[in-house]
Amino acid sequence: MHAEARSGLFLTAPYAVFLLLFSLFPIGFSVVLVVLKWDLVTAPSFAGLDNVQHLVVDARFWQALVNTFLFLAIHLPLQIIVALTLAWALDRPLLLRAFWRAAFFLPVVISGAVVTILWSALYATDVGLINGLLARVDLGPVPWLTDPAIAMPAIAIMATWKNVGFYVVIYLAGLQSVPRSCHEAIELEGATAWQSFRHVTLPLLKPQTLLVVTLSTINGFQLFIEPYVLTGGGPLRRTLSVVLYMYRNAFSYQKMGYAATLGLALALIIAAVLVVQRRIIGSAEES
Amino acid sequence: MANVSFEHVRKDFGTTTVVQDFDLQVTDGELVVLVGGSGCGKSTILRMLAGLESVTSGTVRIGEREVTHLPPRERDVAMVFQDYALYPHLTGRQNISLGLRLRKVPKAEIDRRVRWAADILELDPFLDRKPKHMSGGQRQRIAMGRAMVREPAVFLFDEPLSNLDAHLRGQMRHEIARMQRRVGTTALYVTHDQMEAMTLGDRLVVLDGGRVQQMGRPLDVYGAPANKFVAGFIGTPPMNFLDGRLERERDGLVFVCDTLRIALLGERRPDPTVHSGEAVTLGIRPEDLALADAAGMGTIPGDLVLAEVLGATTHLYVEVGGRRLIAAVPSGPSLAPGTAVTLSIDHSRLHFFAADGSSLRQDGIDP
Amino acid sequence: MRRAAFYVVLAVAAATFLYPFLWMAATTFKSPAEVGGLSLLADQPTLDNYRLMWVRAPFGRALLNSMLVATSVTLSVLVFGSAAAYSLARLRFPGRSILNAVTVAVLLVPAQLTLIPMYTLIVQLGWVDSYAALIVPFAFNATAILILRQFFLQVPRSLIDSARLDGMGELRILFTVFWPLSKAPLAMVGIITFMGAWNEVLWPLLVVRDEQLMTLPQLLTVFSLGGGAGPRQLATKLAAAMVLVVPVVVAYTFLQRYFIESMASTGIKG
Repeated sequence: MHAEARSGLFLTAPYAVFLLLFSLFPIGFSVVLVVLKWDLVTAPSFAGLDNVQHLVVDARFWQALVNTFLFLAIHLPLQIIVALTLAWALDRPLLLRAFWRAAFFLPVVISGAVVTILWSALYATDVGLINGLLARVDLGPVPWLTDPAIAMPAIAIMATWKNVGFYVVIYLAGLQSVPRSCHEAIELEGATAWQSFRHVTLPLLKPQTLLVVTLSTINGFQLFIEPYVLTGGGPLRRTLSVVLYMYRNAFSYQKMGYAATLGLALALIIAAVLVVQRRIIGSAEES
Repeated sequence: MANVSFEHVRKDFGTTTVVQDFDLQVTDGELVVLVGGSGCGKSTILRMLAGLESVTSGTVRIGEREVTHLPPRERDVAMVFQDYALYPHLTGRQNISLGLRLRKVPKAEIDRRVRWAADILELDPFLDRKPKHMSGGQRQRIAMGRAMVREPAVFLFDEPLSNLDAHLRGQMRHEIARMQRRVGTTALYVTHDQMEAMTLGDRLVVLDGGRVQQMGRPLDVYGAPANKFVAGFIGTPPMNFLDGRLERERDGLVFVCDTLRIALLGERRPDPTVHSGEAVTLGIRPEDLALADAAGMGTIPGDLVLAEVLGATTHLYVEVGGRRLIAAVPSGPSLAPGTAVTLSIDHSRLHFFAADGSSLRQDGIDP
Repeated sequence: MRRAAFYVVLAVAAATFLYPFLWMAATTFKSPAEVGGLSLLADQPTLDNYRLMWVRAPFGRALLNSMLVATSVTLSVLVFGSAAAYSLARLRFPGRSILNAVTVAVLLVPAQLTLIPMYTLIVQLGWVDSYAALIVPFAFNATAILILRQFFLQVPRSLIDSARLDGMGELRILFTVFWPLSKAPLAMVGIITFMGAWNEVLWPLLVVRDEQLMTLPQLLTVFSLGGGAGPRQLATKLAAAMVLVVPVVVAYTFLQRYFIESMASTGIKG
């Protein structure tokens, strides 16, 4: 065989094996697991469509989905508005610009576990920072993590705090790619600053907005450490996420088949949501 | 439609003065061209009129209104940018009409104006495409359409043809001139291309280093440049310059430059009583040099270095006493490099410049 | 005047992101009575919280574990990943296009889908509570390979040809010719991979139960779940978190440009 082909095969063999074992096999096996019942200790048994049937009527699963959509309903608009505002603020000659940017970006590099623990302290009802600040202006205390209606929104705010810096950088790059002459042109045409933003800047930021929405959505469906540490999924399962539920099924209840079913369902739901989002944002571009 | 006036306008960027004491009165419907090299301040002046740059001191007026410190959106000017500044996400039609839609102009009126611009500029084939599907010339026309439908008091053009290829540039030059004449709006046009300036302007303003070098009609600026800069900038190929001095000879005047002695025969020459012995620069335009059959009074002998045949005209590069002159002559039988040639001068079209670059007063004629 | 107001607003925004960290650090030095206060300085500073934290759980060991895992994963991704990327970019061999296609396809699959099957695989391999479980599944990274491959495609062919004529083998070419040219993407991939491995928490929570083998974020999580919600427990948990945060913040302070550019550029290009 040709020497180049030999080298190529040799150099990529480990990667190919890896893909087989840790990518292709798991994908295939996940579908197999759906029809199995297995606790990892005894031998797996065939369960037919039991797992799927269970999923369809599983109140916890649907509650977790509702929780996730609530999370997204708050997190997505918040993320876009805050990131865009901060990026707009940074898109000008500024003193210490690198400092502001680094400040907003700091939570992005910090581990999710740390951020979650930090916010468990911030949100603590009695000794937390937020209620402490509110007390200074005679407000609260707010039961951030113990009130079923407030807990998920509280997590949504925390998630925004953690990630917005990343999207500030993304939007900033987008803002800087809008030609200055376009702004000048529309200004001469009589547009106010807001009109210029709405008719020129915003439409040209469509790709960035799509990215924000896509990544934040995926992030929202992948929530795990936040409910795990902050609330354990409560109160009243109002912060239960699908991934947390999946983890419990695998680790605590040892129901591999059902856990895999949850995983597959989640993957399909994410795909569907992303497609819909792309349609909505993509088509808005035409108007 | 309005007139435009700049009074003692000055622009500083930090400690650098970019535009010095600029005065200009533009009459209603006039097309004035600001021309000069890069950094001469021409774009800055235009942008100060638009409100895109602040004015350090001085007054700018459009019509009766003083606009010096008004924001751009209140000035009623429209601008065609060098990069066209079209909104990439909108079609040509939407690009043109956006400004009107923002100002809440009724739809019927918008359609009427867009149709009017589209007819004059022949926009129909690409009116509903996005800029990325248009050629440079098409984008240019959309940008012009956008300026037109505003029916502003003043049109501003900021080097609109610089990004087009040479052939298209010529075509678009005519479009712009035609459009402006037809619509009759006052216009200020900035360019570094002196040919554009000469062909488009009702009046030229030649700028260098933030100062006006000369203002006037194209032919006046061409025929009677006020200084060496203007003389060398306007006209292509550029004017030939020879540094030397004037000497009196009997009752004639001779221009001496090293070994070269040219008798000045025409009536247009500096006053011998005033300028004899002075260091002067002699300026001759290539088109005022011709091939002579034989040497004689007031001719220049030289050696041909290169002949560039452009078609009906040929540019001859002639070495004369260590200096190189360019002559633009009608094409004729070809000449080999190295041939000795004699150039004859049109003595009625000589230019003289003092050591400081200013044009010397010539008998009876003001520079 | 407007400028000043603008900077004030910016400062408030920045404070929103920075102040909680300062408050967290301050709280770790407070005694239970002072915990919850807004002041950044304790009246009676104490190291009790750190002592308690250090004693209760093997944080030092966890730090080492995290370093080991993150470094191993990063090295593997950089070395083996660039070998794979190089082959995919510049070598012709049977199966190349399939491998390329699979690499791209794999990126479309959400992690949730493969999580449980991978877990069962680890259990079947007997790798529960082992470093192998933490490192091997991350030894290759499709995103990294794609980024590196993209970059390697742009290296001029003439460099490879002249190296081959000099008699260099492929690995030699990769490390002596390509690597020096690829400092930027390698650094970028390195930072992203390291940060990802360092912060990964769900996977260790599945495959590691032994406290001695837990990674730092994992131990931190487990630690914070125990105990109550009283002020002392809060301060102790925060002290534990500080162990994880401080090195990162220090690195970030000096290298923030690299962090930001690396982590965000995948988003900007994608």
